[in-house]
Amino acid sequence: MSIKVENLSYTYMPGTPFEHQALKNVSFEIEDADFVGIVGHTGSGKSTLVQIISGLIKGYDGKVLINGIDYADKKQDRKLLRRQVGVVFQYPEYQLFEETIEKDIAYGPTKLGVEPEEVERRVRAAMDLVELDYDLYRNKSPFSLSGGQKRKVAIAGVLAMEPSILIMDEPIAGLDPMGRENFMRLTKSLNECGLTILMVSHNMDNLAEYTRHVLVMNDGELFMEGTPEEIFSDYDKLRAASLNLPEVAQFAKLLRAKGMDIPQNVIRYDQLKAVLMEKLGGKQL
Amino acid sequence: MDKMIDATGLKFAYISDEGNYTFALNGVDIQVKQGEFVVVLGRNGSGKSTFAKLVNALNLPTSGKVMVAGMDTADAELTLDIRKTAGMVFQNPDNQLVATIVEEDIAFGPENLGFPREEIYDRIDYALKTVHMEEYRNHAPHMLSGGQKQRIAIAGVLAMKPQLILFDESTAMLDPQGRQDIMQLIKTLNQQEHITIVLITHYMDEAVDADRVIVMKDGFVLRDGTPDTVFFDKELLDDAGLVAPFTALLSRELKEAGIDVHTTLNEQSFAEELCQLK
Repeated sequence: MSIKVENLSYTYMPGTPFEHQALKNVSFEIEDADFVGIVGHTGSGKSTLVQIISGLIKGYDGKVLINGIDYADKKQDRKLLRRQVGVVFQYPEYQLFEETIEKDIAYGPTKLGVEPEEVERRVRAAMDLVELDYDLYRNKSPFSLSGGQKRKVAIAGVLAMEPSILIMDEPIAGLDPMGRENFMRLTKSLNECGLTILMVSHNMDNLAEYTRHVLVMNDGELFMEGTPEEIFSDYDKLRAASLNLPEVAQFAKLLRAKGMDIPQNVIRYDQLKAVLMEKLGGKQL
Repeated sequence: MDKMIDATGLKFAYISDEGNYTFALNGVDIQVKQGEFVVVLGRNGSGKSTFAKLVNALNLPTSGKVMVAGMDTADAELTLDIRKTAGMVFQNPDNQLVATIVEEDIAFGPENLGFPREEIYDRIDYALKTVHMEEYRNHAPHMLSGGQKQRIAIAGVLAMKPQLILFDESTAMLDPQGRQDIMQLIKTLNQQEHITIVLITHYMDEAVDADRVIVMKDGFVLRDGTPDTVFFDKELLDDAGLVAPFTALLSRELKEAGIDVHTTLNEQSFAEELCQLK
């Protein structure tokens, strides 16, 4: 599903001494089945932005259209928005509450009034997507799992609602490197199934490897927008937003400074390795 | 005291809801010398945080022993002295900040130790200066950025004048700038304030400059060695579920492809070596 944001502004606690404009006239478009990374330093407005798109904050100026529909319009059914947009918050494992994994994942669709057989099918499908074995895990307590597995259960709970858009705020913070990599691969496969993905993250390396479209927020404004190659090769602009290059791009920059000719769009590990292999005559094993 | 931490045969078991024992530590021996900078790596659930909590006497060993600066953590009379000696900084600063004004937050520890007023002020001055947050003395901690909050949490620990600080994934929630700032600060605490550092992290690049790296898996110590011996051991990394830091991985893979480079953790020297080859 597509998302269109037009001239979006939002101010926290207007008319008080704590008044703070979190978003300033932000506009962009996201196509159906896109994989979007949102970056920005703490307080840049990224969380406010995704909360508005998710329908969790009202009273903003401007427009948010989900597949062309403005859910701020009272004539629209907001329940439909909740079904279409799945949200995974920071530390989603804290959202778990049921006795068994199966019950936890089934909670959302059951509340939507989905028939029990269909609920079971969805729970199976969702667990399959996050690679948790249904028979092995369905009756276990979600609290007996490791951090990374708990996160999978929480995401399966969101997927069981069968959303068309999946919004995740820092989903990989606190995961170990393998956990991060597995999580990014999982997200990529969900995206390939047609889900539109919006992922807020501080991890430039993972976003450079996996996303197709990047938004950079800075002091409430949309500061940069483009492909990962465009964004993650622009050192000066990223520094101006208090961000940094992914480590591959940092190293490519260092090589350029020392006189080696590395193309500007090299931001991923495999790209850099291929360029160096070609230049230095390495043999592909 | 030469040994800051001396853990021998250390085991710790959690009791699950069903009453079963689950061992988070299965018998580890870890020694940390005064002034060392030690990084502990391992997957989620490998026992890293459990170890830190045993050093700080937040948990007591199921069996085995931990000595902190010569004090046995199992001796309840020493608990307060151990906590003064070994400070701890957690992942989320919001869980660690207690007051509504920065100055009061930092004063919390020394006040509870019953120090005289002047001593408390001296310690606040010292702590704020060390973390470069002097101008935020009268600010509200919850209005600060993540990195700034973590600085205040560190200042609160510094006000206790600890000899050792345990950092449990203290950079995990920070933006890139915040993470860089806190890592710089941790290095300064080690080099200039001579505080022994135990850093638990999932970021391999934070381990590159450590004196020593301890790799944990399933409650055991898999390896205890220099960063060089850890990050070029592919089997060890695979076994522990770790990934090599970028420079280590690229230099190893280029070397394997027949390019004449040394495997290294040093980005600068690696870049120079590559540029001389072209």
